[in-house]
Amino acid sequence: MIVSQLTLHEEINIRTVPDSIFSSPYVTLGLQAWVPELYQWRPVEWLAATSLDGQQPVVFEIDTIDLPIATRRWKVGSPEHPELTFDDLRAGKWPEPTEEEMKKRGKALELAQLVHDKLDIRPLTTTTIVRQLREGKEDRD
Amino acid sequence: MNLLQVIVELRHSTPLKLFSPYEELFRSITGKELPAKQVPLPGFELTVSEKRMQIVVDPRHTAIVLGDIPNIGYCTDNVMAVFKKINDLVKLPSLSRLGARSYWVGESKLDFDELVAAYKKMYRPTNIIEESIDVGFSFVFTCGECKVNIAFGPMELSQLESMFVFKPPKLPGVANFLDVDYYLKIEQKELTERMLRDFVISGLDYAKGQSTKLMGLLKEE
Repeated sequence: MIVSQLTLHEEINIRTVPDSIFSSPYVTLGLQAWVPELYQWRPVEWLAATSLDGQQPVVFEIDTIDLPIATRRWKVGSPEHPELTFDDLRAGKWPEPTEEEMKKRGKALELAQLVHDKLDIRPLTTTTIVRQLREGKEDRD
Repeated sequence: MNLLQVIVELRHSTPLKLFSPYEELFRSITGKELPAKQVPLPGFELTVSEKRMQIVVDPRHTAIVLGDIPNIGYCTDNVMAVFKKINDLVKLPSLSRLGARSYWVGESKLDFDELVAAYKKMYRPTNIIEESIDVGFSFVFTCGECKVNIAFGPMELSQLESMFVFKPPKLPGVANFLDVDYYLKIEQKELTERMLRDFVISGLDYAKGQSTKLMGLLKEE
């Protein structure tokens, strides 16, 4: 992919020539008049691209700064995954469960199934509630 | 694709007050406005190497670049924290433009010529397309009130390396490169914290969506 570099007027020392035809003693000709082969088509909006270029900045450099960001405020403490950070979680990078965690999850699911079967838990839908209210029944069908 | 660089830029409709004493002095002595092209003041640029962050403040714009972006939330947090610090010192003037530009890179398993050939399939075959040795795509979209300039194409390591303010620690040899410039042109709008946060999040979410679409498109080709 070739990225065309902008050729701005400021970057070129444009020559100024005398011209008696114009009322002004000098007329400035643009880059395209002097070097037409440098002209490249580009979208008009491109000239206003979001940019970091500053106005001849005074440059400073430091190692780090302390900013009040969420990464600093929150700490993640997971004994099974000590390497896990808040930013990992925020980026959706969940660690793979350990074998022990898988066993615990399996056991929890089994227990949940047992409770479910024993109590005969079924979802209470709006239709069921309306029917129960209408019929004055509280048992489930 | 991985998000490897973000630039957020606020373009001021009037010069930042921090730089105004010189203009006031000029106006007071000459009775005229200082010509825009002759504003003599240098901008301020701070590089925070450990955070791979650069902050630029000058009369006409305030910008921040981040080269380490573990996630969009981290990026938004840092941008908000920096702009808040500047705004606390000197109130940022009304804005004429807001921009959030992001660079996305996705490794390609193809070699460069094969990847160029894959991109060329997106065009209707013509002599120019067939004979070209490199391609790039450029589109302008609208998204609500915002406009988006999108450019993408294949890149080799040597060119990739030149694209970033902070060179990423690991870059692929051949990659799909996507540049999404999401911006909003406005007439003298006052900056609010909520507006900036929402803008940055929408800009990066939009760009993330485009990166997913592009990778999907290339898989189909």
